Amino acid sequence: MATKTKNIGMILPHRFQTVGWWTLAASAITFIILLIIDLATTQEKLAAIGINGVDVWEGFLGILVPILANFTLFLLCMSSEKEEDEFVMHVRMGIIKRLVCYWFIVELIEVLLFFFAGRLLPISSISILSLIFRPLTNIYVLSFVYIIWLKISLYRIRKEAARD
Amino acid sequence: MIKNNLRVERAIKRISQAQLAEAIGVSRQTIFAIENEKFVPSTELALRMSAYFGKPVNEFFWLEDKEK
Repeated sequence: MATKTKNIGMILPHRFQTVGWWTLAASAITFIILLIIDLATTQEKLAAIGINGVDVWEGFLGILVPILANFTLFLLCMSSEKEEDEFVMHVRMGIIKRLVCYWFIVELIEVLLFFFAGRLLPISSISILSLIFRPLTNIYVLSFVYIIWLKISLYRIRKEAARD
Repeated sequence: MIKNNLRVERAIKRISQAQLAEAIGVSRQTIFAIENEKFVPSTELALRMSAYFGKPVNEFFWLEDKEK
């Protein structure tokens, strides 16, 4: 009664995950190139050429990076594992539940801190708090944490199963 | 809490986790997780196991607070 491992509810087949890892590398390289161009563009140069005179390549890369990042995270989050079954789905749901819980807690702490910092601390503290909290609740960061957490969880289970 | 004696049933039938996994269409890690009570399978999977072992589901899955 041999049956094929079922793909339960995942949008994309496993091969799209491989594409996702390649586009991740591409988006990282594009981001680094953009960063180098940005750092090389001094304030004086920018003032001289004006915002409309920004290099066409820089403008193109500026659009390409978020498109690639979105595409990559969609491929990585929505494609199934090589052996996707109800246990992998159970692991996925456990991670998503924990991340949602974490998100609510961090958002609550952030709101409370902003409320009190706005009244008790200097205005510059708001900017610092914003710098600290934005990455902690950013959807791109959380999606990436989800992927890494899933990979580590499955790796640990596989390792335990191999020892058994 | 649902307990199981899948490991015993597998030993009786002299099959490995990988063979059982292949037969019922899941991965080996799923069988490992079920045997170690880290995961409770769906009714569908339990019924597939039942058909494979040729025994009713309640012979290898039972509630902890009840007699098997």
